[in-house]
Amino acid sequence: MSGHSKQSLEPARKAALWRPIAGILLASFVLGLVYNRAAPLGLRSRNGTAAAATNASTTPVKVPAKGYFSETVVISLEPIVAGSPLNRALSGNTSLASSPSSQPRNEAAIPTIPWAEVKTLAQASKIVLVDARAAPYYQAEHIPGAVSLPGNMPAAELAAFTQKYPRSSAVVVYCATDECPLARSLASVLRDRYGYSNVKVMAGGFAEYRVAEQGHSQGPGK
Amino acid sequence: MKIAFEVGWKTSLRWLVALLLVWAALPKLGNLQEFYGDLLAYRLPLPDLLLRSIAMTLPWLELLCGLMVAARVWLRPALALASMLSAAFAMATGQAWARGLDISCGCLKLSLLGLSAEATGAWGRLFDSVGFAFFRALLLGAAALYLLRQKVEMSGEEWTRAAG
Repeated sequence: MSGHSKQSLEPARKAALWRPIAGILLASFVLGLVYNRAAPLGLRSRNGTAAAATNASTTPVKVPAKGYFSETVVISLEPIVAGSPLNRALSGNTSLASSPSSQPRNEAAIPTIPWAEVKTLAQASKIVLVDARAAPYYQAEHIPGAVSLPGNMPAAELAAFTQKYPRSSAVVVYCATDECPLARSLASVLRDRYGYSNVKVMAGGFAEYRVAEQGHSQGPGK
Repeated sequence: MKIAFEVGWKTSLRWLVALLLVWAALPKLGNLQEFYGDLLAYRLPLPDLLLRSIAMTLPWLELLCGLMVAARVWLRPALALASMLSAAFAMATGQAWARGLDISCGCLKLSLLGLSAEATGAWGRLFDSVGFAFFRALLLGAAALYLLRQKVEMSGEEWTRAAG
């Protein structure tokens, strides 16, 4: 008798477990979707990013003929193996930053520049916009026109960048947020080791760009 | 005396599971792109849309489960989900570890405690490594399963009395 009642209770018990699990999963998915739309560092489709960055209105994206381009200096994605970890690139413990000869001398002295100014200058092809985040983040999404120069890039490969862009170029470096140390360390390396005299860090980083462009596209009549 | 010790032990374990889940969720919510990048680094053979969906959903799943375990709301489903999440983490980190991928686990971030990679040094890198994350996921899963089993064996009233 008790065995029978146990058997009949089992499906009800399982249903009682699976329904809340399904509810939690659904709630998480909905919350994730809503939050992702609102979060400055949320995920966007690649097409959506380009539209948001180059054009605040709903008209089709027009990439300026000269200068406002998108390219990657990294020839191929660096294999994520021991010695070149993604996490070290994120934490700033990179091959550039960790090398004793390449220690930034005065990161704090590097001036910052707001996104509004960067946008104007980039559209006028007056600056080289550099994305200091690791390559997967750049590939996932970046400010249109930005060049990928990840912090974990070996110093030898940085030479490709220096050969392409003269020392007189105005360079603006950005990372994910102000908390990310890669922008400042890369900017100081470019200035102190490679002689770029006009190097700035974009205030707020990629998050600031997101906030500014989202605010723009949501504004009435803009 | 023995009962009091067991209650204290289980309550501590429950709070530990809740704390780890919330701790894992908050940095991910702070930077979804970083978490998405961490997922990409695992090189899982999954379509991009699924990876993006995981990057958006998983932090909330962890947060909700953590809060539910702490508040003892829907405790059994939350613990069951925590066990499943831990099993998935263990598989993902285990395969990355076996393949020799030296990547950020993307799970618990020391930055939430105000610690930087420079300050924590080798310990911080060890804490963030996939090997350590693999064992941590196994332990978290075992703890969640243990609590789930305790919960199944006890009636709701007993549990409320014991775990409260």
